[in-house]
Amino acid sequence: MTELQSALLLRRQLAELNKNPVEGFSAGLIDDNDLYRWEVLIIGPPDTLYEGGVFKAHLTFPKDYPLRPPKMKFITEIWHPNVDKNGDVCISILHEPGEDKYGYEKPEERWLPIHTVETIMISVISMLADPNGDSPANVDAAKEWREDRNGEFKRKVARCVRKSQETAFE
Amino acid sequence: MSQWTPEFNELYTLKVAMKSGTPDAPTTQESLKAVLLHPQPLGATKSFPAEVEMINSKVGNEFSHLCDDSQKQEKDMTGNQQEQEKSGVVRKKRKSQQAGPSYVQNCVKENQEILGRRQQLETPSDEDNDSSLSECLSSPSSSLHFGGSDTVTSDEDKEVSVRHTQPVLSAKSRSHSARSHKWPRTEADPVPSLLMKRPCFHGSALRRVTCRKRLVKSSSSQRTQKQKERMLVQRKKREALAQRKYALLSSSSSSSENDLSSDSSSSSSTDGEEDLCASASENPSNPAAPSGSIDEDVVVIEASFTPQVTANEEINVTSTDSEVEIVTVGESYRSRSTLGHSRSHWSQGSSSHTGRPQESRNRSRISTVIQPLRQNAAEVVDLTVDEDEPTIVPTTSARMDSQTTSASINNSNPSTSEQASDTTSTVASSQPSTVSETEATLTSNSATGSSVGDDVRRTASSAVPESGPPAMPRLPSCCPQHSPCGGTSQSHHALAHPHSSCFQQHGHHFQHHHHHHHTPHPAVPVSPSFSDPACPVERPQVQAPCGANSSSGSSYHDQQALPVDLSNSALRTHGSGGFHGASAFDPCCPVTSSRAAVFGHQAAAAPTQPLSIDGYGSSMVAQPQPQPPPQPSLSSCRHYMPPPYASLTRPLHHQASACHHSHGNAPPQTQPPPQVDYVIPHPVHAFHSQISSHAASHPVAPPPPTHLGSTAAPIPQHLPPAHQPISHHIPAPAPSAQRLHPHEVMQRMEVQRRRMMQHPTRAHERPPPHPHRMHPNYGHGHHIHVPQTMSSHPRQAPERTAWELGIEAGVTAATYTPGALHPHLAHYHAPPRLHHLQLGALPLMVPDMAGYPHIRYISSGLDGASFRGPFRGNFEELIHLEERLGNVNRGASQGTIERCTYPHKYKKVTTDWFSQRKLHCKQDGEEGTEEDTEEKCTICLSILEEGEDVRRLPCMHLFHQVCVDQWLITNKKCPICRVDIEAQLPSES
Repeated sequence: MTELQSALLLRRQLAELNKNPVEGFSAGLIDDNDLYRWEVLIIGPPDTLYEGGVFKAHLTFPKDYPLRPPKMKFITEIWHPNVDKNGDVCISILHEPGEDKYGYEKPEERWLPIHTVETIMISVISMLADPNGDSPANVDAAKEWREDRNGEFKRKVARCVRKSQETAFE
Repeated sequence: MSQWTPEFNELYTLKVAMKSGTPDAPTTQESLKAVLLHPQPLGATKSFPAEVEMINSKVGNEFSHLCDDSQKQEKDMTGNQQEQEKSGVVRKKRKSQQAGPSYVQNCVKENQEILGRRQQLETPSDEDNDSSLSECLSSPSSSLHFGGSDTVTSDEDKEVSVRHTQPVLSAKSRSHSARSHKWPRTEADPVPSLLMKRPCFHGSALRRVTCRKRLVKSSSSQRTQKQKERMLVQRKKREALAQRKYALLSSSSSSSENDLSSDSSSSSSTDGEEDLCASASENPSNPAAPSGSIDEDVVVIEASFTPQVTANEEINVTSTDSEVEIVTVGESYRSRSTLGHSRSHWSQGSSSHTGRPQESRNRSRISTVIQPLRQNAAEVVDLTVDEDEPTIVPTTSARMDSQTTSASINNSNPSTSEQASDTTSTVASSQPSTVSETEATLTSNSATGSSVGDDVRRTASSAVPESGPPAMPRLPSCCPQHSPCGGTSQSHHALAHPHSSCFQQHGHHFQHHHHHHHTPHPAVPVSPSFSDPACPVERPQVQAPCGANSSSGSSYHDQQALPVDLSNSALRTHGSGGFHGASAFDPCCPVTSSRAAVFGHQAAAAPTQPLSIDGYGSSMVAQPQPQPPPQPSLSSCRHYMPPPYASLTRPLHHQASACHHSHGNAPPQTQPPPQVDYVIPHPVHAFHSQISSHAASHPVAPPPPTHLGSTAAPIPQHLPPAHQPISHHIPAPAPSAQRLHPHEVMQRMEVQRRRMMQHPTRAHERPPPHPHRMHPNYGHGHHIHVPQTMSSHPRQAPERTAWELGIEAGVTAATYTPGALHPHLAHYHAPPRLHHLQLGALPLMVPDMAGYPHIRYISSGLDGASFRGPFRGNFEELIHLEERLGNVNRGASQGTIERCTYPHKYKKVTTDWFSQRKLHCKQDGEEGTEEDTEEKCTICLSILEEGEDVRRLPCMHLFHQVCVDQWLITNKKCPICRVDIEAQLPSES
C-alpha cells in the first residue's frame, strides 16, 4: 500500500510538471522504469553569482515518500556553502522531522509530507541565491563567502558557472 | 468485686470493734455468727466447692486467682490444721487475761503498732503460699508421708498394706480412678490412718498426739453432729470432752495391726516432740503424766496456766523487752497455725466433699475453746477467737520457722497478756492488708504481665537483706520510733511506711519467705552424703554472677535471723542497748569446733538409709544440741532447693537494683555493713547445685536458657559425687511421674502465670532494698552468733534445739519430699524456660523489623545502580536512547489521533447551482474548472472522492485517513500548518 502510494504520488507529480513546466528548473526520470530517481536541471537564478549557469542534480526518493524526504545531489560542480564538495545538498526541508542533532535548525523547518518536487526545487533555488552560513556543508566555501564574498568566492563561483555552461547540453 | 464487698464490711466491723478496745458481748456474738454464716450463700452462687469458696471469700481476690483442683485441696488441708493448732495457742492466752484489766491501755497501744506490721507481713504470704503449693504439685503425693526413703520396694509394700487393710479407703481410690490427675493423691488418703494407729503402742507423749488426731479423723455421722454443734456456741466444756471420748472410740474401732516402715515412726515421733515443746516446755514432768487420755487433756490445760504467772511478773521489769516480744509472738501465732492446718488436711484426703465437714469440725473446736473464755476471761479474748476465722487461709510453712524462734523467746520471758494482744492485733491488721492487696492486684492486672512480674520478684528477693539492719536499731530508741508508727493510719502501713521500725516488719516477713527453704532438711536421710562433696563448692561460689549472689544473700539472711532474735534476748538479759560489732566474733574458737561437730554428726548418720533415719530420730530426742538446727538445714538447702524458684529469684535481683536507684530517699543503713555481708554467698551454692543435679539426672530435658546455662556451667565439675545419690531416688517415683505428666505441666504453667500476676502487688507495698556486698569471712561469720545465744541462755538451749528440729521435721513430712522432686523438675523447668525464650524472641523481631525497610532501601538502591551503571560507561548508547525518547515524544498514539480528530466519510457539497456548473464543465471539457471545485489531499496530491475515509484535524485541514495517520504517528502536527493536534483540543471541545 505504501509503495503503491509513493509510486502513484511521484507519477502524478511527474505528469503535472510535464504539463505545467515551472520556470527555473526542469525535471524528468533518469530511467523511465524507475520512478524513485529523478534528474533535474536548475537554471542559475538571475541577479545572483550563479546567473547563467546550468546545474544538473539527482533526486533519490525513499520508498515511504512522502513520510520521509528525498536526497538531492549536484552532479555538476558548484561552489556553495550549503552544498558539500561531493555535491550533497544540505537544506532543512530535506532533513527528517525531529530535533537537529547539530542544533542549528528548528523542528518546524524540517520535512513535511506535503512537500513536492516543485516545492523542493524552489527551496534549493532560493538557497543558491541566499546561502545559510550557520550550518555549512562546505566549510571552505562558507569561510570565503563570509570573509571575501566578492573576491575569491566570486571567482570560484564564476569558474563553476562557466564550466557548467560548457557541459550543460552534452 | 461486688461479691466481696459484704465480706469486707464484716471485716471492717470487726476491725472497728478491736480499735475501740471495749467490745460488748452482743456485738461479739453478732460478728461471730455473721462470719460463720455469711460465706455459705457465696458458695452456693459459684461453681467452686463450698470449702474453697469460703476460703476465697475470706482472703480476697488474690487467692481466687490461684484456684485449681490441687490448690483447692491443699488450701483445705492448710486451713483445717491451722484450726487444730490455734486451739492450743488460744488456751494459753485465755489464762493470761486473769492477770487483770490494768494492761488494757498497753494492749491498745501495742495493737496499733502490730496492726501496721501485720499488714505488711500479710503481703509476702502470697509468694510463700505459691512456693509451697508448687512444691506440693511437683511431688507425687503417694510418697509424701514416707519421708526421704523413696524406693520402689518401699512404695510397693506400702500400697499393698494400704489396700489390704483399708477396704473403705481403697473404694475411694477406685471412685477417683476416672480422673487420672487425682489418682496419685487418692493413694495418699489411707496413709494417715496407719500413722495414727501406730502411736497406740508408744509412750504417753505419742498418745496425746493420738487424741488430737483422732478428733480430725472420724466417721461421717460424727461430722454431721459437728455441723450441728457449729450453730450451738453455748455448749459446755464437759460436752466437748465427751465429744473427744466419742471420737477416740470411733477411731479405735477401725484400728488394726499393721507393719509400718521406720519412716512413719520417725515422722510420728517428730510430731510428738513438737507437741511437747509447744504445750509445756517449762514443765518437764508432763511427759510422765498418767496414761489416761482424758487425764492428759486436763493436765495440759492446768500446766499451761502455771508459766503465765511468771510471765506477768517479768512484764514489770522492762517495757522494752515486752515490746520486742510482741512482734515475735504475733508472728509465731500464724506460723503455728500454718503447720497445723497443712498436716491435718493431708490426713483428711483430697476430696472436696470430705473437706466441707472438716471445716465444720474445726469450728466446733473453736466453740469448745470459746466456752471457758466466757467463764474466765475478758471480752478482748472473745474477739481474738472470733477474728481467727478470716486469717485461716493466708498461711505458709515458712511462718512455722519464725514460730520456732519466737516460741523459744516465750520460754525465757513468756508474757501471755502481750501474746493475746499480739494475736488480736494480728487478726485485725490482716483485714486492711487484705483489702489493700486486693486493690493492688486490680491495679497490677492492667500492667504488662511478664515484665511486671519479673520486676516484682526481683524486688522481693533483694528486699530480704533488710531483715538484719532493721531488727537492731529498734532496741536503743524504741519509744521515739514507736509513737510515729502508732500515729499513722493502718492503710499507710500497708503501703510501706518509711519509718525505720516499719523496715523491721518487712524483715520479719521476709524471714518467713526464705525460711521455707530449710524445711526439707529433716526428711533427707541422704543429706550427709551431699554435704561432704558440697564443702569445696562453697568457695568458688564467691565468684558467682551478681544475680546469684543477691538471691543467695537473701536466703542466707533468713538463716542469720535466728541468731539476731536470740541476741535480742541476750540484750534484754544484760540490759544494754548497744549491738556488738561483727569483728568481735571473728577469732571465736567455739565456732570452729561446733561446725566440725555438725559435720561429724552428719557423717555418722550416712552408712545406710534406715540407720540414718533412726539416727535423726534419736538425735532429736536423745541428744538435742544447739548446733545441729542451723547447719543441717543449710546442707539440705544446698541440694534440695527447687530450681524453678531459684531461676525466678535470680532475675529478681537485677530489677530490684534498678528500683532501689529510682527511690531518692532510700532509708539509711543503720546496722554495720559487715553484719549484712556475712549472709551473702552461702545459698548461691544451693541454687547452682540444684540446677546441676537436675541437669545430670535428666539428660533428655531441653537445654536451659542462656542466662541459666552460663550460671550452671561450672557446677558439674564440682559436684560429680552428688549425682550418684540423686540417681538412686529417680526410679521410685517414675511411674507416678508418668501419670502426672499431662496434667502437671498445665498446672505448673497456670501457677507460673498467677505468680507473675500477683508479684506486682508487693512492688507497691515494699520499700527499696539495700544492695549487697561480698565479704571474705562469710562462712566464718555464719557461726559467730550461735555461741552468744548458747552462752546467754545455757539452760534453755537444748529445749530450743529440740523444738526447732521437731517443727522442721513436721513441716517437711507434711509438704515436701526432696527425693521425689527430681522426676518432676524437668517439667517444672518448662515455664521459666519458655519465659526466657519469649523474652529472647522480642529482640530478635526488632532487628528484622528495623532491617526490612533498610533492605528495601538497599534493594531499591541496587535497582537504581543497576539501572544507571551500564549507561554511565557508554556515552553512545545514552545518545541513542535520548534520540529514541525524542521520537516517541514527538509522535501521537492512535488513540490520541482518534480523540483529537474527526474521521468521517467524505461527502461533496451539492447544490443545484453546483451541479449545473459541474455539468457545464464536463460539456466544455475544461479540467481547470474541475480542479477549482474539488479538494485534494495535499499529502498524496489526489482529489478527495465522495465516500472516501477522510480525517479532519483540529485546524480544519482535511486529508485521507491513510495519508495523515502515517504522518501523525511520527509527528503529531498538521502537515500544512504545523499545529499540534492535541493543543487544539480545548478549542474544539
